[in-house]
Amino acid sequence: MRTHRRTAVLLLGWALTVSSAGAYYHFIHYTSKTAPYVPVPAKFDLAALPNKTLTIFVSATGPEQLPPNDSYSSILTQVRQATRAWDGVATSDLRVAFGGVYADGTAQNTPSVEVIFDSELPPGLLAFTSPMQASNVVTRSDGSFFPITQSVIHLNSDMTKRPGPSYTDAFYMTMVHEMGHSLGLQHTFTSSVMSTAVTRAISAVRPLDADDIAAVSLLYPRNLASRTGTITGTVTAGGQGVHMASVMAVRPGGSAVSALTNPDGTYRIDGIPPGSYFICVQPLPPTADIRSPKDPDGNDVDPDGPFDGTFYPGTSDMTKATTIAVRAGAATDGIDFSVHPRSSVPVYDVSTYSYFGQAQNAVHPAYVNLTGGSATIAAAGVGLGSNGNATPGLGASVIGSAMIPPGGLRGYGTTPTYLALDLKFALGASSGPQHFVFSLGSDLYVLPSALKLVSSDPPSIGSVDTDGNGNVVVTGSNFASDSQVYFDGLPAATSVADSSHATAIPPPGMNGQTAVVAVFNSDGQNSMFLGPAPAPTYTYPTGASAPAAPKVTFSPNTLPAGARALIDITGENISFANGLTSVGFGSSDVLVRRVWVLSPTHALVNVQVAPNARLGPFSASVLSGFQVFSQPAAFQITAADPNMPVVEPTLINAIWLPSGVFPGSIVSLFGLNLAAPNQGGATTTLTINDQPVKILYASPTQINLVVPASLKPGPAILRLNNGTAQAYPVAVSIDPVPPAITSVQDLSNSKLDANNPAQPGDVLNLLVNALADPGSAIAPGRVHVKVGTRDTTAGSVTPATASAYTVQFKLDVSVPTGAQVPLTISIDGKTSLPVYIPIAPLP
Amino acid sequence: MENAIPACMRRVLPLLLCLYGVASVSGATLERLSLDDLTQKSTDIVRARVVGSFADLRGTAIYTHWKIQVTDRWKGSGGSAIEVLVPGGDANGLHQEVPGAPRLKQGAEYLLFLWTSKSGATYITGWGQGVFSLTQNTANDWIASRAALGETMLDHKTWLPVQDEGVQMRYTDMATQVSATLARGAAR
Repeated sequence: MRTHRRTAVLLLGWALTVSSAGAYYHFIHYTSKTAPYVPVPAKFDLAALPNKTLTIFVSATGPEQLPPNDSYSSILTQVRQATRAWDGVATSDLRVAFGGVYADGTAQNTPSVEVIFDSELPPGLLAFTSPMQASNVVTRSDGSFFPITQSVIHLNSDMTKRPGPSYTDAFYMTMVHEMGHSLGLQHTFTSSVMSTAVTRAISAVRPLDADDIAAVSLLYPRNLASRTGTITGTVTAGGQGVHMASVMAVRPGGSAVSALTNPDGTYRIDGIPPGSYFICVQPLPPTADIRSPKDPDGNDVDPDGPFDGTFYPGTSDMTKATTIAVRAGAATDGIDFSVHPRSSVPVYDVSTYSYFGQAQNAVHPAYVNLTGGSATIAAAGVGLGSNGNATPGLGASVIGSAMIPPGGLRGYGTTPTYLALDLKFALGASSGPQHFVFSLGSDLYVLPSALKLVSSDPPSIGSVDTDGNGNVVVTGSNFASDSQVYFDGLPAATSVADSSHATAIPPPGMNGQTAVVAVFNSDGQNSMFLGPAPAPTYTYPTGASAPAAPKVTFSPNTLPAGARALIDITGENISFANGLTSVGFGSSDVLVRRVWVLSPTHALVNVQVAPNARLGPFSASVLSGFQVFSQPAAFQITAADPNMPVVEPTLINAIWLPSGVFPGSIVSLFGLNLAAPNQGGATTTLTINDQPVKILYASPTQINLVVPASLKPGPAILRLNNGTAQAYPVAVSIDPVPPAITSVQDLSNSKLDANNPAQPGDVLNLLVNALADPGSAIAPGRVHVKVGTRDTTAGSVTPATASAYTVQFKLDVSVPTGAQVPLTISIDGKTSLPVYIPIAPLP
Repeated sequence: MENAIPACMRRVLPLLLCLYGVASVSGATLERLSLDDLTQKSTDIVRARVVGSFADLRGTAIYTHWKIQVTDRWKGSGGSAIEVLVPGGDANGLHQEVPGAPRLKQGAEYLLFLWTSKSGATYITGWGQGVFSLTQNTANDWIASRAALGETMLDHKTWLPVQDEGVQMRYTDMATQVSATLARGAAR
């Protein structure tokens, strides 16, 4: 088993500042036994993570048993896919990376997450996750927390049990869910990925919902407050605060975000995307599986008892509920509830199902094609009925475009009793999540995203063949323009010809590997809804001779602690592919910053070794598609060299950051020992792709330089010598030349100036160089014009000259006014330098 | 007809294809074990009292070692003192929460279904499913009971999530059922 250095705990005393998290679905400690309650969460310390990046590894000791058609490499791909889900949260400052394979017993100093295949799980236990945290609180400028030092996801070594097989949607979402726990999230009740199986309603194409995003963003915030809103209030019963009541903001046609109340009944829901929301409160179900917050003595602060669920402002009748408008950057306070205690929770843990295909496969949650006009789905859950009858007095209604007509709720079955729910769709019904409200007497139970309304049937696969170019041709039905073909749960580059034909490039696979093929549509439906059973498969070609094992060479394969360096990787019997190739060095003390695939046999990797890294040999692994290379002791960390120059492999445009690092630009380079002090950089030399670089300024920690004008966009190798020692080369990214605005004119082709200012709402023409390759057709949607803080999509983009384009756009009516309002244009992430135009206010 | 329940739904909800998202893992995911399952899969079934505990860091997890004194044994041939490992606890300045891990109490008496792994460590079979509190009713009958568990629980035949309902039985009735299961196992 992996050993772990004892965590050095920094004791700074109890928090006096309010944590950014409310009483949320995190692992919470309270700093006092009386109000005001200051919740202190457990989370990873971003300062302890290189580049704020948490690396997730998988044990090299794979499972003891695998189901048919499953493989260790498929497991690795699914874990990697799951890390990308959490890494993609824009409002979270935590980055999550896949670290590949690690060897049991590896010692490391940097916090990490590990996935292990545990043969010590007793019968009846399939998996569990547990973050380990330091016992003492840490206080930083953004709040106080208990540092998570390590999280381990224990999967059963017998993968024939659930949650396998790894190529299933279920396994992937299991990994996303478990990673959420490992990051510090507990369960929620909004049908998001952190909900339990019974109510979860997400899909592989969109694994995180608004509540998940809010939960992780609150732990590791990045610009969250400016993009989302907040609702606060109090939940009381008989004048006393209700602890751990679940307060939900539910958006018609959208998602739900929630929070739990503090012991005094106060709550705060942060991270709510702007929109109109119903607000409801309901008790936790008896099966909540939430770890109670701890008081200062380490004792559980248990939830209060059940009560009647209710909508704001205090009604169980949805037609009398009012919505709250949530705006970005704003808080709506005083959304209070006075609830009535009851002895038990009558309705909870409801799942919905719809049926597909000749085999009438049940799909959960229910998906219904609204173009059919009506449908019947099934629901199962506690309190819905017994002995084949719906619970007397039970009602069901929908927040959304669907409706349940009178008589549209019927019980059936014996033990358990299910509900049949008839659905009709309002005129102009639109697709999207529908939330169900079950009412029973004075109580209500809200199930967010109970039903997914879609506007087409799910995709189906009729056949899987190959063309002469190694591509896989999938024929079927109900393919959409953005459908994607998956091989063993791994999305492939897909081209959709029409609703029944798609071509995909299979990810690199192993000789003779059989991969389950599925098609996923962006509405969450996939071909596995329909069957047939067995699932269609693709078998990778088998070579004439026995397949040789992949072989990978790393150069260098030794680095000192504290180094940042480029490692050149060459492969045999393994095929590197953009977006599908990951590299790992078996230790969280080595961070892989970026991988560039130059060819199927050649890749470049920037790595960063922690200054306090454990020394010694470590395993190295490469995962490319389903091809896996792993070698113990393939990489060595040696003692740090304090005199070694260290180059940070990120160049920063010193003049205008959004323009990027392009040929001819002036950029800054940072690091350590870059130049000898007080020598003015006279002895520091720098090359990029072997081209000499003009140095404008040099100090031990910063160099300003001019990027050689002849460089091509893409990765380039930077080499630095500080006059005494050579730094390890690093790869830097050279960006294309950004667009340049050469003129701004009104519709009469007059230039704007003080005598001819623009006004809000005016249509303007920009003449722009370097927008794209000459002669390219540019979709206006790719081009954004930003005036002040207002971002607008171009109305039209037309060639003006051989190298320039005319971009026409309309000034937003709320654009800022002034004598010099900055204006930039961007395309595909490349942003021009600003020009400044006069904008006069409307009379 | 709109008000008729579709034929497909009149069957008990059919086996969900394992290929799409139902199975999941909470803090813990359990496989539902019946009393017969618990009996067959356990290496020891004992009535015991908790007499002590300590926690230590074992590789990647903190385990609390619960020391129990056996007062009655239904299965297994071990001694009267057993150390049962449950993940979670405090050790070496670290704290580990393991949602779903069973909790024992110092001094309490339980009926425990235990499993000893190849490494020789002893765990609780099925986690919360293998821990029964022992209380006496007004007729002085011993009652073995456990509350419904909140962890995700999957039926091992269909792998569908199922609701746990808790268990309450007279200790003697449970002993009879366990004995019968053991006898059937011995007879095979």
